[in-house]
Amino acid sequence: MKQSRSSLRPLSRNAVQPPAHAGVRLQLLDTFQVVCDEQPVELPQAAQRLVAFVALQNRPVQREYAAGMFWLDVCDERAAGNLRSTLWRIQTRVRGLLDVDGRSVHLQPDVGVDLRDAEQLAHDELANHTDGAYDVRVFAGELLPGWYDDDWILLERERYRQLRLRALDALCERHLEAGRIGEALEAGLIALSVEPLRESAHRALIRIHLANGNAVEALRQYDLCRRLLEDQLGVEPTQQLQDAIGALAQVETKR
Amino acid sequence: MALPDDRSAVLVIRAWHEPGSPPREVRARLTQTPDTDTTGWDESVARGEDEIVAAVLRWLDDFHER
Repeated sequence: MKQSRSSLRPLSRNAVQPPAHAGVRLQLLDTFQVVCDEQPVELPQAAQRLVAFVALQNRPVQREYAAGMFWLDVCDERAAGNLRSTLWRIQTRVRGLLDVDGRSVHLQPDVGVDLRDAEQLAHDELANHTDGAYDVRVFAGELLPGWYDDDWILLERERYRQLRLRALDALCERHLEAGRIGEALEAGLIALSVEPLRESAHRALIRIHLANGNAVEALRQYDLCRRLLEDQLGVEPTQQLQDAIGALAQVETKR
Repeated sequence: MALPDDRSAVLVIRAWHEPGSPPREVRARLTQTPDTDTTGWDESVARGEDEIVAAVLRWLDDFHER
């Protein structure tokens, strides 16, 4: 397999990174974690769900609303008590995460949230406000992927999923146009992992391999896409994908 | 206090259209759970409006039968 590495350059890890937040950071991508002064903070599951819910609201959450959301099966007084107890557990373990008063709860404004950083970067990418010199793996994570029981995550997860796909496509294209094959490949592979049936992701990878002079890998990618489409959707690749591989596809078809 | 006795389920349809495919040939990945008490999700894919609608109807049938 031909793999020209000479045109690859390492990722610029120190160029543009998500903003650093001193103090408290909240991780919602891939897994839930609260970090305070660089130390992870253990929270009970009910507290994790409450923190994630509040963090995703972008506005103060009324205490009655939160209590009703999480303790639906008990009376209002008991739900309010459970909320009070959960908030107390959070506040005793980590200061500076939530602002709590008698009426509402919200995330303290200086808490760094990885989801919000990634969203901002994605919007900047789509608005052409970056030079692409950041670690593309910032877009690799899904929003709390193991949390199946919470309906309120679903729409946020899907919204972010669409946003990062568009950002990955744009970033891949930007790197490819600039001849940064390694970075384009990484962005393209992450986009493909988000949805393996999207022809546009396969097409981008084929173009990257061809730009790198790697016809074997381009053909392998085309063949992988063709098989996936045939097995799962029962369709042939679109003309656009066939055009991307060009004459090489005819060679492959004759095999 | 009586617990709510309603049932709920989730079906997520991620649909996209590939440039170069017929205008109304939408492709979709359907992620579903038969009810929200069930952990885990089933995934399937569909092509075209008829297949997608059929998948939604199947999911509704499953929901009603439970």
